[in-house]
Amino acid sequence: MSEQVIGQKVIILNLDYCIGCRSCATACSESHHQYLSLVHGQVKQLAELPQHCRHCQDAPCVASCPTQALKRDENGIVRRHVFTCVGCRSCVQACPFGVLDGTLLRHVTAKCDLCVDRVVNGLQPRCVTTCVSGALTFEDLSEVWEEDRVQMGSRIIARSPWKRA
Amino acid sequence: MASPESRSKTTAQRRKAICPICSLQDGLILQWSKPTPLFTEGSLFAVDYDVENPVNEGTLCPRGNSVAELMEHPQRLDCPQVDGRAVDWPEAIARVSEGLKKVIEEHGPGAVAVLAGGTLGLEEALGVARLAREVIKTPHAAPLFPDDGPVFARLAGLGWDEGFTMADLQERQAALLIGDVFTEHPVISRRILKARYKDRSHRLFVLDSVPTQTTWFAHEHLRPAPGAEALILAALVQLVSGEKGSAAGTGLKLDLQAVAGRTGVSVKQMETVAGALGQASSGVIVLSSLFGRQGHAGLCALLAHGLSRLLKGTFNFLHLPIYGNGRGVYQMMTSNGDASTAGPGIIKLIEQGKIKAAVLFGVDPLSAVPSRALEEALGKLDLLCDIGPLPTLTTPLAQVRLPAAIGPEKDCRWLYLNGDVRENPQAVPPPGLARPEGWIAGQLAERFSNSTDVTVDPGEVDKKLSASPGSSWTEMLKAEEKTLQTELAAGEGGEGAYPLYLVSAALPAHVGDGSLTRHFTWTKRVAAEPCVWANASLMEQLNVREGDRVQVSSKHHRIILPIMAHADLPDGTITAPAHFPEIRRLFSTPADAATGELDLRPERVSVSLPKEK
Repeated sequence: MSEQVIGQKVIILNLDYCIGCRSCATACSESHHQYLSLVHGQVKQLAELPQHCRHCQDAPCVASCPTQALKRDENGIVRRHVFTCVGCRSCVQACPFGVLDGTLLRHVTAKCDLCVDRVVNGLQPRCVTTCVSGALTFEDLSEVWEEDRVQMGSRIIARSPWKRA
Repeated sequence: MASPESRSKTTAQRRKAICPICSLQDGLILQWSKPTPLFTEGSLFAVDYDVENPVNEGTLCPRGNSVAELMEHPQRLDCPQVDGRAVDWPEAIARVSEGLKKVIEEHGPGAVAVLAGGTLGLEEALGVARLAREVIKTPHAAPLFPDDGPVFARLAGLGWDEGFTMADLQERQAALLIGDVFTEHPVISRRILKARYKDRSHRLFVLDSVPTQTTWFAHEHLRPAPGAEALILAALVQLVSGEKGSAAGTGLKLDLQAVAGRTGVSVKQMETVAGALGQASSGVIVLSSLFGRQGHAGLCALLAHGLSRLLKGTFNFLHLPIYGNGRGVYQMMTSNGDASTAGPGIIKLIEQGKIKAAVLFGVDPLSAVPSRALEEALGKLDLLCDIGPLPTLTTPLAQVRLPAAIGPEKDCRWLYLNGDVRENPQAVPPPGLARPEGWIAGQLAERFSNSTDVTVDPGEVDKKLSASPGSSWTEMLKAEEKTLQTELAAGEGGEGAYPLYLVSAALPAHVGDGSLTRHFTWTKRVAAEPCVWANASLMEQLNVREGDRVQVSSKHHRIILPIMAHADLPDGTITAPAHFPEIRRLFSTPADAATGELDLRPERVSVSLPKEK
């Protein structure tokens, strides 16, 4: 698969569908030797939502890595080299989305590799395939932008304290 | 039986299998990794996704994702053990057989108990029942499902809804979910949410006393006082049958205002739900019963079944049991309406010391219905034989441990939710000397009585499954009117020493009594310790912060737990996950006189700061 095709595809979370079951996180952990690269965020203790690595075009985590363990590979995926990472957590600090978990496992920081072993074969990342409610999808970024999709689902808006006020 | 060596593979391979954890029986693929310099035999299993499976379309819940870990678990027993010593099968079978004979000689066959769990195949369950009743000749043989037993007992008389497929669910126009369905059985959420968002006229209702991930999605959350779910369902039955001019003859004459006063759910809200269900052309009612979650779970099932019959649209009532073949094992091992064949009754006999020997087929009594009396009684048994794939809480008390195969390691048949009998083909041989429970039951029967064969013909299973129950739900409901009236009159009593309700909670990482799921690394990561959730007002009243330890006391047990904040919990209610035996001990376990199954309900408790030592 070419660099462009994988590089343009992103994991989209439909907030309306997520039931907070953590299947995505389990699939990630079980398939990566218990390295968990998918953190969950709580929304006012009312919902738990997965927070995926965006594989940013201009990735701050790559820029911040002092050992160059984080690099963008030939498929456009930001990956961490396991032997070069020293677990300094600079990337955790640098990530603007807070998707890198600061918990170290075997002295390295876990990092989403977009299940490159599956994606290069035309499959979806494991978190997307396993998603029980259909909240996670693996879509072409250009299509998402064309649809002008509202990323904040009605569920969140409906329960939002700002709306209540 | 394949040789043990064939479990290791020299090339990468993939085999389709069925998830052995819960009753949705999701399809998955077990695969062997490619050989590497470190793992030259490539014997490591991994789970892949069977996207062609019509049940789950490749999706898996956290438990399903961890199945490979269960099969390759380092604590997995791979040879029989007698008094902690590894032995071969003939010696182990002889030890159990001689032990049983000795107990029968001294105390009679009634001193032997045989209990079975929900991971057995249909033929295996019938074989175990035959071993107990025809070979050992004990009346004390039963499945043990404390969470699902009350519902099974009702539906065994009424019959199960059959003939629909999972894909049908996403075409339904309305859904009424009783309990935390999405947390306990996440895979079903896909179908229900597709229906919910596909059509603006779709209505999703959730009946649960506490807010959950399922109630998030409800158009209307019916939130009764803990334990009063049956009253709401009865009111819905009354309202729906009223629309039809009381032609259904349910005989229900509840004062709806009194129901509203008792449950806290307004009459208008009940009318809204009854009206929407009545107008829907199709729908589904789903019940997920959990230990100490709903009051009168059996009665809830009866009312939900009746409601699905009363509604003019195409409605199904779907009960989601916890363990894979729970319903199948129940149907194979019980005689309809015979309360003496219920598992909880046998547990009471063990506690009373009337049982001297017990054989456990894939069941863990100390996780399912823990009590100090049971622990002491199990320790005093002349013979305790634990048959299962992994160590349980009961295992340390057993003199004999026999290694069993897990679902994908044996050829068997399971009963699916819609009444279909599904083949569960062997994807991989069991490790070492582990064998399927049916094979073990056959060996025990052969050794115990040379002339008896407990091998079961599939035709016998089909015949037992096709027996029609034939009870009328309206007749059964009339017999329950007193229960409803008593519940209605119960009010908010019971203050004093125990002012709070403890409602058991579900965690997506666990299922049932946790005897299988507590072995997962993932479970230890996300739900390592039991805890109690309370709202901010109670935490302020106790002057505690999140993570502080508090003492939770009921009439039966006292336990110190860390307290966690839960924003939406109603006042007067706390929750705690039901998968931990320490928390299960807080609940009283009264048995229903008619069915012998447990009649569990939220428990009255108090929370205080632990006394300084």
